[in-house]
Amino acid sequence: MSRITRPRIIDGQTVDATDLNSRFTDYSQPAALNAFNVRDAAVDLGHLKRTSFQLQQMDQTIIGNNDWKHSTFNTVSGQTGTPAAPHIVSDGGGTPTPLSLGSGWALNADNILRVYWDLSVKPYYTGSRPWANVGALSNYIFPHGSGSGTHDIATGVTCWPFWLQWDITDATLTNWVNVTGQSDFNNGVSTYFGNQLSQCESTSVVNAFLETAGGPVNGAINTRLAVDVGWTSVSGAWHYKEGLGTTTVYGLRVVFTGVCHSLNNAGVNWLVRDDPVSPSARLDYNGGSLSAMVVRIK
Amino acid sequence: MKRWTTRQALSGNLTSPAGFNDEFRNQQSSITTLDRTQLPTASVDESNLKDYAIHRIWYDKDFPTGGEQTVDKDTSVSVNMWQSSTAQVHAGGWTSIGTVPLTGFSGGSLFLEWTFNAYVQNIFAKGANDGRPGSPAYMRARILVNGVVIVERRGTSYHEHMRVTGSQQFPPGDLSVDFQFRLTELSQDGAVNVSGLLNTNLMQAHLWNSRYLAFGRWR
Repeated sequence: MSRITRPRIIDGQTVDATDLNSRFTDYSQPAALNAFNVRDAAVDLGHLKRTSFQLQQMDQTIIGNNDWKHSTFNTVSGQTGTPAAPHIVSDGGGTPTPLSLGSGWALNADNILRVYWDLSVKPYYTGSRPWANVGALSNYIFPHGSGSGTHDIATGVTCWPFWLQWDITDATLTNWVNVTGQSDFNNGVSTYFGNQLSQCESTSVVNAFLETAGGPVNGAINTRLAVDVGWTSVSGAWHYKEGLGTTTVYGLRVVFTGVCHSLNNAGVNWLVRDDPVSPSARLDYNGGSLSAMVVRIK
Repeated sequence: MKRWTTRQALSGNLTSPAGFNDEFRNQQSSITTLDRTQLPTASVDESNLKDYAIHRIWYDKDFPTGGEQTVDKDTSVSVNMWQSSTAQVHAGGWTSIGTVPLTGFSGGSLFLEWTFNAYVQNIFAKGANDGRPGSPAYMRARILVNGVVIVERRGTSYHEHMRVTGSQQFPPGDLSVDFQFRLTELSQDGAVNVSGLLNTNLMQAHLWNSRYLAFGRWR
């Protein structure tokens, strides 16, 4: 696109028909105008193209086993060991429910991918107080209210982490990898497996179970009260801006593992699987949504 | 739709005063001789505009450092806790995790989005001296722009993901955005240490996988 340059008319000059008509021809060429020829303030909303300009792409889908009454849902168990392939959010038949982006969305330095999702979930556990199992990270110990002995109690940190995967290979949606900045909770630290918190850029969590002290007094515990988490929701938001190259995204999906707990090692904070607890952890999940958009950044 | 000129002069014709004045207005209407009345509808996209001409996005995917708040980082915690906020190191009140400048804001609407996972210790939420049904603790969160609160939320309890969004109109000029959290005060029944073999400070709260996105649209 060329820059149109003509000398401006100055005081004392005459305006003749030829000059005016030449200018008219310049500006009436198809696609003749660019940033050199249009002042930013000369643009009003009506002048803006309404497609694929600021909001370049947008799509959404229903994920999971969608049933508002929770009469049907999927049930999964906690995971142990490594590598543990994550659970994939799927429909009632066990088929994954990704957001397919068709022939792909091209991401470059000029735009940003924004992803938002939510899922109806019900965390619970089987058996008796699995957080008290030998070797579990999921409990703290406090003094007993009687003045002698101690009580263990769930920390409230134990959680199911959810994160995003994408297919940036092709539209077959068979090449899923974790999104940039996200790891798979299979990194070893001490005797555990998980992620550093800095490796959790698309992670959202929901509590696995809850327990509170019944009538504690001055930091001491007399009784313990297990509290059902019940049906609740987990949601996430993630933004991605490409560097100098181009990435084409063909699909997005939500995956999860569990149950995990906080850990610090050599001054670094981690979220690691709590293997003594995980076999007793359960998660029912229902439906939700996954939406994505590409927005021009400048 | 108007064209760039309303009167096309023909060779040999006389130029009337009105015709001259219309052309003169067009000529001086902008540096490049076009004003907004002369642009066709739906004719402008990014190829016509300079970068940041009509909007701009600022964002940080792991704010402030690796997505974690680093204001409180108690190292005297047990191995199954994060080095984070404890009663021993947290100063209380609204606590800023970081301030970011939005340089080049040209005036108009600003949309802000701040998301994170928050853990808040609630083991002692039903203390004998707290009254029933208890007083759960929350991680309140708010966003300030140039020192003025534009959005505040009670926040989450226990361990969950949270998203805070707000929008406001601002005049042109660089903006300063401050992201703050506030923990519910401990009751007299709340413990500050764990006992047994560990006997260390008790993690009260943490904020991680924090990120923000700011979307400014001018005028």
